[in-house]
Parts: sequence; C-alpha cells; structure tokens
Amino acid sequence: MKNVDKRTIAIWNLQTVIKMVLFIAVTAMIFYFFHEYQFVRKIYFCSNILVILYFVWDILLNPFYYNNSKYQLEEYVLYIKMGALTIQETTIPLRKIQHVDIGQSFFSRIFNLYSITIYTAGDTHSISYVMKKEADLLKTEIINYLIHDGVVIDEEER
Amino acid sequence: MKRRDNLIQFIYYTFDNIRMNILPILGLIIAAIGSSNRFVPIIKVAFYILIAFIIIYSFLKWYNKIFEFDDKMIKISEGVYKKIYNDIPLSKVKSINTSDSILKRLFDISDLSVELIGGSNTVFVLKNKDIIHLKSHLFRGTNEVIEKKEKKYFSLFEYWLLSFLNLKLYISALSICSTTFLLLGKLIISEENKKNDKNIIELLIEVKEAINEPNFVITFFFVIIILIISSHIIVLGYIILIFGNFNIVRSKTNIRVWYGIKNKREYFIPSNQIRSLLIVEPLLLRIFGYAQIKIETIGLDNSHSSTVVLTPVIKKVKNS
Repeated sequence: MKNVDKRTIAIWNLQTVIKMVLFIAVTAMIFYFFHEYQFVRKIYFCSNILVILYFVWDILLNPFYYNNSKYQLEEYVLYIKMGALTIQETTIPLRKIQHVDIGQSFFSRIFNLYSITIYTAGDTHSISYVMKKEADLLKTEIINYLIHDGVVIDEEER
Repeated sequence: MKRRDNLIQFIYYTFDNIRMNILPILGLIIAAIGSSNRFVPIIKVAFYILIAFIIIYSFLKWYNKIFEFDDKMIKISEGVYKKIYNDIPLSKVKSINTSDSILKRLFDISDLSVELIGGSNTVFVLKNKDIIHLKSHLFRGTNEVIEKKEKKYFSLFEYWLLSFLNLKLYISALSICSTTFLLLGKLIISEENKKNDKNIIELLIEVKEAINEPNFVITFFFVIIILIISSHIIVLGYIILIFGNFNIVRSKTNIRVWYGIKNKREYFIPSNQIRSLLIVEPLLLRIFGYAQIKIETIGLDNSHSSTVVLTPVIKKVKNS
C-alpha cells in the first residue's frame, strides 16, 4: 500500500498549533475581562493545562497516524487505511463510487499537496495529502473505470 | 390487503407522546410555580385534559396509519391533522431491518423498517410471521439456498474485550456504582455519624488531611478497585444483552445479521447495496489480534449513521 506524502505530518501539526493558538487566544480574552473572579482564574488555568496536554498528545500521535495513512487502487477496489491507535481499513468497490473530488486546504497549499475525497452514496472517504500528480492519477483511474464499466455493472445489478 | 400496525404500537405512541410532551411541560410548570399554590387545582384539570388529548391523538395516529403491500408498490396513508399518502415502488427499497423490545417479543411482534435511498425509512409493526412473508416479497431470493451460515456466539473473553470499547456506557456504569455505594454507605453509617453529616467540601478537606495515613490510602484504593470491577461487571452484562445470540447468514445475494437478548435487532442487506467494507482495529482489539467489521450501505437507519456493525469482534487470521 502507498503512504500519503510525509509532509502531511507537518500539515497536521500546523492544524493542531492553529487550533491551540485560537483556543488560548479566546480563553486569554475571557481571562482579561473576568480575571477578578476566582472560578474564572481556576477554569482558565485548568483549560490551558488541558489544551497543552491535547497539543502534546496530538503532536505525538501524528507520526503514528501518518504511518497508517495508506491507500491502494486495484482493478476493482480501492483500499484506504487510516488511524493512529484505532486503525480503520476501508474497502470501496470502484463501481459504488459516485464521484471524486480533489481539494487543497490552506496549509496543504503551502506544501503544494492535495486531498482526494471519494463519494459513495452512503458516505465520503478522504485520502490526505498527496502530490498533485498522484491525486490526478487516482482520480483519472477511478473516473475511467466508472465511465467504461461502473455504470454498466450498477445497471446490471438492478 | 390493507392493514394497520399492531395495536401494541398504540401504547408506544402514547408513551412517546407523554415522554416528549407531558414530561417537559410538567417539569416546566413545577419549576415555574412550585407544587403548592392556588393554581394547582386548575393545573391538575389542564393536565388531565392534556393526557386525554394525547391518548386520543395516539389512537388516531395508530388508526390512521394504513398500508398495503402489492406486487410493485408499498402504499401508505398516515397522519392525524394532515393526511400523507406515500407510494413507494418496491424497486426503490434498499434494505430492511427488524427490531423488537421485550414487550413486543412477548406478543411475537417486531418493527420492520424499510430503508430507501437518501436515508428515509418507514416502520411497520407486524407479527413476526407476516414479516417473514413480507421479506421474501420485498427481496425475492431470500429463500434461496444458504451458502454459508456462521452461528456465532462470542466467548466470554470476546464479550469482555467488547466491553472496553464503549466509554459512554462505562461512565454511566461508574456513575450507577458510585451512587449505589454512596447510598449503601449512608445506610451503614451509624446514627451518631448521621448527626455529624458533612457536605462534600468538608469531606474533601477531611480526605486531604487523611491522605498521609497509610490505612486510609489502602482503603481508598480498595474502594476504587471495587468500584471499577463492579462497573465493569455491569458493562459486561449490558454488552451481553446487546450482542448476545449473534448470528450471520450469508446467501448469494444477501447478508442477514441478527443479535440482541434485550432488544433483538436484525439487518437484512442485499449485497449489491453495500457501498464499502470497513475493518476497524481499536488498540485493545489489535493487541489481542481482533478486529471489527462494518459495512456502509445506502440510507440504512434514519439516524446519524449508515454504517452497520457486521461483526463487533472477530479474530484476525494471519496470511502467510
């Protein structure tokens, strides 16, 4: 199975940092206006400890998440594997795919990486993040399958 | 032939309406005016009128829901104030599942839920023998030769593993046990101590002072361990009630899964409606070489998820 791009870890870390900075900024603002109340000071202290623990936990888990973020396209199925502590492997029959999206988030634009979102009728599945060339290749192969074979098979099943 | 839901459903409608309407209204009234003032007699009368209204409404809801299964369509008409007529072509039915409760099981009745594309579903409450007949009508081929039948009763160890995967359930059990222990503690406490009843802050201060005494620390940990073990026994029992009698039957075109001792759930899924297959390995299951298998279908269940647990715990086989 193919791994996603290694720079994905950096993107996830940046996302975690931004979340943490936003949280700290909001709580700091609340603290500035209401610091004369003792319970506000206590909540502010506890929430900051929690957010720092969350940050450390997330940063530590991201490499594990990367190790398990894999995908593989075969003749009739697409495998997607993800997860850090809990690993989830999804098997999607190509003929069940409705359409495929390629997108970029703010941080993935910095690294010129793309995410692929696969829509089945029931759910969406995402592969984050890969190089543009790989994303295009995956999309083209799935779409070609759907155009040439997928619809026919689906109609036969009815 | 036109028919209605089983009469038992009228009780469920009434119960649901009381739960959804009466209890919150009653709570609000008591919170607003208290339980003793000059308006109480008027509120009592209003309350009785409201109950009578809910019973009549529930009856009409049951009475007005009429449905009919023919060769090509399911025709449904329902509604109390506003009538709704719905004709569903059988070809648009994507999957069906059944569930029951202890009361319904006593009367040999189940809920038959018919799912359509997009997640909408319609529930019919019928006798089990009628449901079997309807299943074969909705999905022709149900009675075909079974290719593989796996009668699976999980071992106690597997139930034990499953019991670790539901954190919410664990917290609830912990809460039940703590409350029970506190109540027992109050019963055991002597009359003298009852006179010196302390609030929680005073108790915490005492605990803080006593923490340096080795006897206290040992007793404290002993109580915590007892609490964890008893919570775990509750969770384990509950998991057995949920996943007990687990069965999977696979045929060429369908998968049938049913389980549950307290409430029996049954999923009947045509293989061609399966959109993807998920193998989930939570850390604890992975350590012991187990995994979960789930399938994602179109519009199964009208709630939040379209994912069905096909096997809550299954031993992985290593490929050489």
